[in-house]
Amino acid sequence: MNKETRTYGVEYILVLALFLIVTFWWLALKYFSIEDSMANEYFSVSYGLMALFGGLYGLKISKKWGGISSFIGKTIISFSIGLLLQEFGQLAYSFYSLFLGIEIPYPSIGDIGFFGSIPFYLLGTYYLSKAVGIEVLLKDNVNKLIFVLVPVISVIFVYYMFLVGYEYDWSQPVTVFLDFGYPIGQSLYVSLGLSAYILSSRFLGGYMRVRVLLLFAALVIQYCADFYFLYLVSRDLWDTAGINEYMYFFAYFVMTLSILEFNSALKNIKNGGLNG
Amino acid sequence: MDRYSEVAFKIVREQEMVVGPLAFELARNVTGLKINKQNEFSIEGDPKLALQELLMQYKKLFGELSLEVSKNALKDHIKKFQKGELPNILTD
Repeated sequence: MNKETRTYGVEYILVLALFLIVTFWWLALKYFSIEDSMANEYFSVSYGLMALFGGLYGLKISKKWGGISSFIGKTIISFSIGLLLQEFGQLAYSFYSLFLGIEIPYPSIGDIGFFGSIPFYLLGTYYLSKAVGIEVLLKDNVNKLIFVLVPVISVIFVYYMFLVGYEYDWSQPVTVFLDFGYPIGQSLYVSLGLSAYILSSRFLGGYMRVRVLLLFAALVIQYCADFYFLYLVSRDLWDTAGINEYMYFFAYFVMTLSILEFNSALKNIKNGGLNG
Repeated sequence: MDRYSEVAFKIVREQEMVVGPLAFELARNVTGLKINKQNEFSIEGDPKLALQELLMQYKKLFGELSLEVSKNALKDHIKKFQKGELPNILTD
């Protein structure tokens, strides 16, 4: 059995340190039941640093994987832009509550970031699927059916969860678009990712297997955060610095870790890691 | 380029679409496979062995799927070879 040699750079220390600081900060807010809204707002504006770091780092290292000329390069670029758009959304939302002192309007400029990240997560999932050879797997009719059925079931599920009985207000077309676009778009990126994972997991192996699985896991965690956000908001239960915000932070952490892992893998392979 | 070098070139280009420049770096480690600065391929020694080693390099990256991707890309080329002229992992 090959023993994997590993290289951990300073970027791992930074990400882990940020993870621990934000986690203890959030636990302190919860443990001491701090009601001070400003303390919660400061937490809310800060944890997106993880997404910012992951996004910028991903754009930088994507070139080593061939950038827009390779599927892995395009996967990393897409997820990195998705992370940066999430951070833009976070900062925009915090701008309303922290600097303007008003309730966050909907739709608002923050939705450019949050909604904008959905097509990039979709693109990232698409390119990751291409990288793991989904086209070969889709030659089989049963696989084709699975690949279509999982997203269809997922969209039907979120429709019944969030959109049944929806009252259309066509005087606010952007609101109607976003009300449908968020749950459907988010369910599409995760279900396509799950389809690709289900189909490829039997054949996916080698040095990159763990990295690809981590990226699929990051997508699922991001979706859990998105889904729970919609659930809480639809029932008017969402609160600043609540568990949902920590879920988002954790999703950014796992996605950033996946990006770091792709860079670390490349370094190890170049150092003969495949023959270790 | 001879037909074995063409197959090697096709495999590397296909993998380049997946992993970028790493595909060429891994190919340069294959015994007998020569790639010049213009990315022209030639094979010294047993071409079957060189192709087998090349395919195994990529298999180490993504497992069986890498192999299937290469096979899929080469399905038209494979027809130009007699049985036994190519590595078994490419034709089985």
